[in-house]
Amino acid sequence: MRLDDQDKLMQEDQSLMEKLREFMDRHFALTCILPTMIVVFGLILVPIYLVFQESLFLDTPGHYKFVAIRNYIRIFQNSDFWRYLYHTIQYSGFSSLFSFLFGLLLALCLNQKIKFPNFFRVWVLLPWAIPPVVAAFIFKWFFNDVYGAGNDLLLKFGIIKAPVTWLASETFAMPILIGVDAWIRIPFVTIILLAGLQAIPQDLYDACEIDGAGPFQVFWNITIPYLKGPLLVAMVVVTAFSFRFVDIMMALTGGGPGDDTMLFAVNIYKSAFLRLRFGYSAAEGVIMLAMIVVIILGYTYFLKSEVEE
Amino acid sequence: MAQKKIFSIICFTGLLIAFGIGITGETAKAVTFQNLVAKVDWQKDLVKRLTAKKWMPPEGWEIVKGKIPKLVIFNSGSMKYDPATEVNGKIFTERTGIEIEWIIVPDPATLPKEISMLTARAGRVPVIYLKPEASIDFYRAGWVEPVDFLWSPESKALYPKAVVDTSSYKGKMYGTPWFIKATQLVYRKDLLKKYVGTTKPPKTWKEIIDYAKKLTLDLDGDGNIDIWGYLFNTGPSYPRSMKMRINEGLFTQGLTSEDVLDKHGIPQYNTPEAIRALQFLVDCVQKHKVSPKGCTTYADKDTYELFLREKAAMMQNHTWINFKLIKKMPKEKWGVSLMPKCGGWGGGPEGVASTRGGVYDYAINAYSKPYEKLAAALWLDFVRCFEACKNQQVVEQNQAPMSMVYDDPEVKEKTVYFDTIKKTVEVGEAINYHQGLAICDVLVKHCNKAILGRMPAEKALEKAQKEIKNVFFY
Repeated sequence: MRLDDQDKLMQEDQSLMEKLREFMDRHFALTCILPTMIVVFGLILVPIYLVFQESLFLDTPGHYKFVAIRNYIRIFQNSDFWRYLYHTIQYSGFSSLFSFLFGLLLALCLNQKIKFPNFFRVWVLLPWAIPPVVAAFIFKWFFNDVYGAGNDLLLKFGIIKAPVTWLASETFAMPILIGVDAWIRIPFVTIILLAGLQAIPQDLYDACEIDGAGPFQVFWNITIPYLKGPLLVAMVVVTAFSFRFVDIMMALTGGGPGDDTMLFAVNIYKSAFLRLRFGYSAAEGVIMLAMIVVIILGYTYFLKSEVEE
Repeated sequence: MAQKKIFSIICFTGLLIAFGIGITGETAKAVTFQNLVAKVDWQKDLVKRLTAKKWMPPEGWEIVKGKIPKLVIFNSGSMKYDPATEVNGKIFTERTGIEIEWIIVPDPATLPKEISMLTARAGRVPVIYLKPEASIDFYRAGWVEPVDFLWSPESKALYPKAVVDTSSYKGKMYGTPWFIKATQLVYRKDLLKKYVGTTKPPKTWKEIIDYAKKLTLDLDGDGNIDIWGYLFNTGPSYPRSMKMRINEGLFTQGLTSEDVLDKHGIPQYNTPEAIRALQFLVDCVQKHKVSPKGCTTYADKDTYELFLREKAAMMQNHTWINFKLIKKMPKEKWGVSLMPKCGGWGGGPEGVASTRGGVYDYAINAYSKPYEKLAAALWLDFVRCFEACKNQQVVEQNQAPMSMVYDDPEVKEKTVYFDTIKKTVEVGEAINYHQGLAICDVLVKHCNKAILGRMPAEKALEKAQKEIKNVFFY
């Protein structure tokens, strides 16, 4: 090869490398997050698309055909859907509410100047460290009507006169389920809010003290506004989790008595693995996704704007 | 120039990959499961091989030697609780040289895992563990291979008809039975003697209630029941329970599988017999108060636990618990019998002492590779043989599906309550239909409301039947 041609080749190679270097410099941020975006796209968006696609098909063993929105129509026409949705809203709503209230209370207590704060923090975190299914089984034994510790204690203290069938009772089964879920979520909310409390500048509290503000005024005008950011994070996570979690209900009540504690998320599982209606189950999944998105957007709208202020 | 080089390299690599895939595909096409099955003489001395003291593989089986690293098999639950299966696995490896890799799955997760795998058309696990409620759905879906080549009329005669029928669909065999889970009545001999005046178990439904009334005891006089007369389980965490209870009620009224299924193969649960079966459970809880309301939350393990803690005098449970009970409670203290007959209860027929049997099968994953399927076929051939069935019975008290096992002296000696167990295989009935899991769920949902006194039994079964019809005509 002639020397001129060799130089020309080297120049072309260099310009390619230079071009690449220039691109990376200009779009440094994009280059850094590109691998993550590929993973996110692959692991999240593609399955979502596939589920949505599946929801447009009648897919049961031996049958597979395109039915457009027929699955969605069937879902909305099914009275069980509305009943289980109501159960889910009840379950998720009350669990989130109790998680928030007790989480805030515990966070406020832990934020005080107490002896051995780490010791108490460990105890507060303990329910969160227990796998939800294990916790559900512990409470299932506790509430067993024949040998459960719950009935035993209440009988000994004279609070009840005869053992109560807690998990077979239409009055108590759902509250117990809500209680167990809240018990597991409270530590998470506590830790998030505690971090938020510790980020509030002490000067503000000192200024309030000087101005003679009462404890409730301080709490309402200083603490709560500053907690809205962490609160948004905590409530979004807690609500989304309790909306779609199946393990606690399945281990504790199985949806019973009858179907009084049946939740929408569990019904999605049953549609797929018991009734083998994969397209119908996918449609239910899409509806659940839409609901969770609406909930998150709602939280973000109501809480974030105030945070920004 | 550099760009052209890169482009050429990419094209060449792509061509190589395509060529490689093509070659592999062509090679794979030449070997099919059907071709391999045809090379093995399954039918030669079939009955002799299955009934021999020691199983030998069929002639020509060696073609699978060295072709697969391991045979992967699902097991429901830890191997610690399946010693017989472990023993059989070792024997199989000894005779064939094929190592087994057990995929341990918790019992409630077995079917979901298998369904997930099969809907994804994955062949990772060639041997499928089939539970009775789902077997027909697996056959209909084409998820498992037909295995008629493993059977002949003479070999089918080695097993009760109900057992063979549940392993087949539309005249084709899809699985091989390897154990049966039947229901029995378990009772405390000492309590029966003390409070009823006999150690003989109840023979009719009326006697169950009469005994249970005397056995429902408040020992310390605090107004709370310390021992319940009769336990059953219909909890939603084990949804098959409710279907089992209703079916047992039907069989002990003298009905068979053909009586329950209509001409389309749809089970009819709103019949007078089914209502009577449910009403019996309702009366035990609501009218006679010999069973706790908590029965509607129990799985079979819960009733076993209560019986073990001496909180119950009688219970319905599976025969497999005999293996556990014998280690925890002296045999003098407890006994077993077939489920008592209806005996005219509630205006019903005389009926028969019977039981409900659930037949567990192994089947071959339709999506596995040809040699893996062939190895799976060998496993299916083995597990139904006399040697494997005997191990199930003797090592673990899992009921053997093969009738002649019960003529073996060692089985007679080592089976707890041998006479009853043998009878359960002889008289046991089984019903199989597709959408079995969905129907279990429907029955639990509605029938538990009746047991809790929230609606009459007839209304509960009417609602259940309406929903069952929707399940079938979806």
